[in-house]
Amino acid sequence: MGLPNLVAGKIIRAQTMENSKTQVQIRFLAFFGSRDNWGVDLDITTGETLIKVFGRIEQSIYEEIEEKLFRPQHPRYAIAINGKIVPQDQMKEIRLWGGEKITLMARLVGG
Amino acid sequence: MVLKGYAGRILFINLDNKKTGEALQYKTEPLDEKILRKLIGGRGYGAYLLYNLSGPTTKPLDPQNPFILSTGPLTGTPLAGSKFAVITKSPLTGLFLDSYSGGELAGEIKYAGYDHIVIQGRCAQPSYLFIEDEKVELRDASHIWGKTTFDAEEILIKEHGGEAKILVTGPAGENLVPFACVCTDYYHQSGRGGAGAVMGSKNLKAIAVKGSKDVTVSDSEGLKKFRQYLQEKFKKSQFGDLRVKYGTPYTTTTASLIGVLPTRNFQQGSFEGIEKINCFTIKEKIWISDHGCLGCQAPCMNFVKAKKGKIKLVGPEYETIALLGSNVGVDDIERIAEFNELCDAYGVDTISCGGVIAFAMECYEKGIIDKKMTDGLDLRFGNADAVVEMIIKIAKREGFGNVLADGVKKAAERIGKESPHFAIHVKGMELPGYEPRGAFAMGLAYATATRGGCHRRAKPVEIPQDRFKYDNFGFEGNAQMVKKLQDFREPVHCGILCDALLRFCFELEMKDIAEMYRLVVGWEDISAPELTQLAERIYTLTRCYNVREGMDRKDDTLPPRILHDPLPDGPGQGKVIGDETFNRMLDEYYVLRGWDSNGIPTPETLDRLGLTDMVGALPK
Repeated sequence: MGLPNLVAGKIIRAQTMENSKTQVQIRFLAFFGSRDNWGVDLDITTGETLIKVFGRIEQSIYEEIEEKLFRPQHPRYAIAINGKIVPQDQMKEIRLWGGEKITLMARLVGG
Repeated sequence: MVLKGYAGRILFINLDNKKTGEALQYKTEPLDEKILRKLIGGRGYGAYLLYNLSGPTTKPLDPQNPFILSTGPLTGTPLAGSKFAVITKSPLTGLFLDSYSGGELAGEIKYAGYDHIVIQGRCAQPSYLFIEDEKVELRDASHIWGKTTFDAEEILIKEHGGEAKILVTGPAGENLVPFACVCTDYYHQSGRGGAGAVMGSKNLKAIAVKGSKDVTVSDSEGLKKFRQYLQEKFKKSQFGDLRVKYGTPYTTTTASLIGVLPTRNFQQGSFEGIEKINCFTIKEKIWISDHGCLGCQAPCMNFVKAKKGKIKLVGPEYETIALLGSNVGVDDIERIAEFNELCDAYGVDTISCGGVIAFAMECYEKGIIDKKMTDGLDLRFGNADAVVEMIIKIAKREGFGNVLADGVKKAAERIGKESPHFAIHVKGMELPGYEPRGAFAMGLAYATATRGGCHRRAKPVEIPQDRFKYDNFGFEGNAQMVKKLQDFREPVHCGILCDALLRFCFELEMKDIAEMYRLVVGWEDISAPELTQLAERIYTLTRCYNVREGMDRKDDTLPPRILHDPLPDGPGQGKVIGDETFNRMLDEYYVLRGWDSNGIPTPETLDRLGLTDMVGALPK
């Protein structure tokens, strides 16, 4: 049985784009590096994992991301890509294709 | 012997048919020390007073419905964010109501020498109460009747000086709008449930309080050290800095991204205009300075100016941005600040007001109502001018405003057709800023909150999957989490301190709350397990009040849209809570609380919690 068209299309697109150069935007809404509401644009190679792209930010910020997002069993911070929350179990492995807007924020919800 | 932390007295005032200048009937009674340890103060002791002073035959706007201002032993001490509670039977729900406010009035009530002030009866003419220590007088309010809350408070402060702390209701309260709020220190509101209408029904425009006494504590040195401990906790807190810098509006972006931001009358959980109404836009466009409550180490409110300085207020808070922003489809923060100021001035709850206007907008867009019914207003989502008009019409009960002024439940009953399906309320109280389909436990929290659709007893969305193992889109673990979150707040609301500050900025646990009571009151052996049982006792006591009013399982439910329709966007896209999941959560919750399958506390539970004599016979 062949792949459904949608899935096949995504894979073909990914294979076509893989290893080309592009950019993503990262925005920090919570305090990272003692600053908030700041951002960086990063060059990426299409198909790179999110964790690898984070590794390109300055070391101290990367360590903070590791600490706040990846190490805790139940992180109190979240990542959204193009306005959609990334499930915790996909955070490290999710791949980027270029043009994504990545948001890091505190899961602080309360009036 | 009066315990430390307490003033030791309750002031009972009977306004019955009193004209200004006539001698008031009032008396003071000592606190009942036998039950202090069982109910402490604030919400706990206040619930006990309400239980005994009103019953199923008492209508919310009857003169005999008690209007109770409650403080607790921690109020007015140098601990985090003193608050007072207004406790009464709600005109919006007909059930138990406790509504909290910061500012400085809480401390002043204690400094005047009272833990609780209980007001019953109705004045013969518009009046206000002036309380200065032992002096209790009824004064003429004809010069402030009809005035906005801001103007009325300003006039009373000119008359009594800045040391007097004022509680006032606005035109909406005078017009008996059942979601009219009461305001203090200009910018602090006990917003939910209609306490302002209870004041209005008593012809009572305001209460001015001046006190000269101190609040003594058991261990002042220990308390100083505890404050240092709080400072250390604050430094280590992950969210304290964000809370202080942005206040509750920080929540807005997160809420939209996780799909719980009410949008266009809860038709969506994410808002496309979020960038224009979030905390960063507030900072950039309208923020002037920070603002805080009495004794707060982490002031979290924003003083803002909008419309070239014509609008000045503290806010808008998250709930206001959600209900009077995204939920009415308005993406302009200056207009939201304008709505906020109008609601505060006229004295209406921004949450209920936003909820009922959004409901009307959906009716209008669906063709259920038209311009003939809306007094010519084009009530489409996003029409900010129409929102302004509607707030004023509701507060004044003018034209179509009078249809909405009784709340969304009654408005849907009057408008009919399919509108009850999207009348977003629980037990008659409009839902606040958290869409339950993005976090199912939030639905259980709303359904089981004693005052109706309320977020202040438990807010499972606030730190998802932190500390608790639960299923965001299922039932596993939700009942246990909701109960624990509700229980944590009870001893805080008895104190009364700011629960948001304790949770977000200090990340305190029950043992810390016990330590506060030990240091202030002197209960050397008070412990976290005792406070957990106290929490269960008070939650069940308020439940008994509602059961006595005729409430049971059928009332612990959610609006049909929330229960049965899928959310079209966000992480909860396509998810339906459904009857089966909801009932499983509710069944489990009742078991944990020791209530039967109809939601009635069992005799064994009442006995275990020491409530049997206190509550008497309950309906079967």
